[in-house]
Amino acid sequence: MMTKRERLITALKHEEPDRIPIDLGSMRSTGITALAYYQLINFLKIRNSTIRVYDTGQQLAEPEKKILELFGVDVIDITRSLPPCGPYRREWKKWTLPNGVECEVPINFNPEPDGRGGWVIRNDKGIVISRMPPKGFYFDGNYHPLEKIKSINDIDDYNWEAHKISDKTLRKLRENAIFLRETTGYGLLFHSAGSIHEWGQGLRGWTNWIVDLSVRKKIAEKMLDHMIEVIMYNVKKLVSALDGIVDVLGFGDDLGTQNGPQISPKIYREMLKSYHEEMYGYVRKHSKMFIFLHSCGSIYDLLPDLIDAGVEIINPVQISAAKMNPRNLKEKFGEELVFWGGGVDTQNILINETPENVSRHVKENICIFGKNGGFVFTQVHNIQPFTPPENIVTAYKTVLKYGKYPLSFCEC
Amino acid sequence: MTENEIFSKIREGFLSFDFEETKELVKDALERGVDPVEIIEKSLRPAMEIVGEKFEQGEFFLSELVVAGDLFKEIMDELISPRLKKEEKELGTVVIGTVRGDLHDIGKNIVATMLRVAGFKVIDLGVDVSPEAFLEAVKKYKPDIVGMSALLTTTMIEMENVIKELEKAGVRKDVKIIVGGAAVTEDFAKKIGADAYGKDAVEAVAICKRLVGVS
Repeated sequence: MMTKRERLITALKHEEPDRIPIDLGSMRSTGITALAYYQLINFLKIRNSTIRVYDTGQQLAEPEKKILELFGVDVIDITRSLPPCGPYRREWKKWTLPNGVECEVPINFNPEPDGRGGWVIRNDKGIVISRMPPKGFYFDGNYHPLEKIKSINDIDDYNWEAHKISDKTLRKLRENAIFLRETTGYGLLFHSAGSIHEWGQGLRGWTNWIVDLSVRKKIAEKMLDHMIEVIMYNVKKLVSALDGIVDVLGFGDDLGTQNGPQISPKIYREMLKSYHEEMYGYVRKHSKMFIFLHSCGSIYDLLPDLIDAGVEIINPVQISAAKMNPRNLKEKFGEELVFWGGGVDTQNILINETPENVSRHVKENICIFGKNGGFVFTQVHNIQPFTPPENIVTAYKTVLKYGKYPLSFCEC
Repeated sequence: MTENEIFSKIREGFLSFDFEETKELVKDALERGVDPVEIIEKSLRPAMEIVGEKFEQGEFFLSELVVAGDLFKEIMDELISPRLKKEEKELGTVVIGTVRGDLHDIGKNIVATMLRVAGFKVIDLGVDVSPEAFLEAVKKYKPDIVGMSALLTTTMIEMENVIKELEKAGVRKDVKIIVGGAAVTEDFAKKIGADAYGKDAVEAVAICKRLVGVS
């Protein structure tokens, strides 16, 4: 029998391990929301559970050891704070979920009531940077610090240095990774190596950034110059701290929407591709870590360029989006790309269908994506509130039962 | 240069997304005394229709739609609107918003822009709009159409609450309802009793035109 890590690495090398490797929560788009997690542990009758909301924006709960074991999870995040985890952890305090259930949140998470049943979060200057409306389930960022620049020089004045990773953080990441490598058999992932398109959107606002990339190119180029300087500083530091210990280095850049790419392949090639090449190229040249890109939505039209830029693993494989049909993806890109996700659709199937249909859907997807390796099972993005826990359990049980190589059940 | 040549030049500038050039051309045309309404109807709107067609055919991507919408808005705000003597004839009024609990407005904003380009009066209620606020807007603005957007599976159910609120107040029959957003489907729209579903901004505009009897 293979160790979890061997299983993961084999699949990432496009070979068939003993079974399809599984992920739940190794990064912030393969996880489960706290409300869904609460329902899941109740359904499974797990006692003495800790609902730890480690991603407060998306309200994600860290899957506990019992869940990792029950679901056959093979890969974990080196920044985990519940066992199995490294020595450096954040501090936590009590909070209450929208359904009244007690949970834990990071000690520096200090939302204020907005006076109408929702919450706001302010930065150190008192500016509201994100909010969760009443009846909402996420803290969405609504502050774009470079949205209203008066001149291109305002971009130079932004505090770019603040985004550079500190040596102290690097040391902690490295020690956590070493500890997990020495004491567990899990595959290890670090997912915050950088984003450039999404970062530009965050700083300028979505529409502004799209217009910058398309026609206000001087602004876009100035932004990109600053961003790549910070990203490459961080990437180099991360590679030197984590190579040989961590298996997968994650980047994120949402480039799709439900119906198609946000930007044309032409703009991607003109404005962004060279930066991705620089980021991913460095990792490829200087480390053995696999390059993982999280990019939501329909990105079919951009995949050839992303592969060319150096992406080895794609996530979340949003199979419900346009042109993202599993068979087509595997046939076109399966030899070059590992699909990390796409195991079960979360927009329609996992949340609305019967367990029988969930199981059928998972079997279909693992037959397609699992062939010749190159597949890590997880649902498309995070499991949303109100997803029936029975469906979640069914999805993971199905892959454990049917995901053993050779996938002989697929023949019939 | 004849007026028709001017209109054609503006269309060309618009379609190459050259903001400076297009704005210069519009400015020149206005200084020559060309009717601003004619500039909209014979240059900007036809150009935008071409952008929409190319988007539907897959030749253009969302970025082109967004840039074209931004260019249209800049020309309107900076050059045309200040010179409009009378209100332009409108195709109808649309009250639009992202439903309660949901703060996502990218899709909704694109639809609102495209509706304005097409000649609708658009009342944009913003994001996190409660059923009560939709009802209030229906009573106040007496729109032809109510458009609702949601990105999330957790908030799209709010669309049904809005419809119920309008039914309860007896105004549901006075408006047509169109819904859209990432997780929303045609089946879902039918199930909650909406009149239509638009998969993207261009389709939404075509449907709204049909709903008010123009096409």
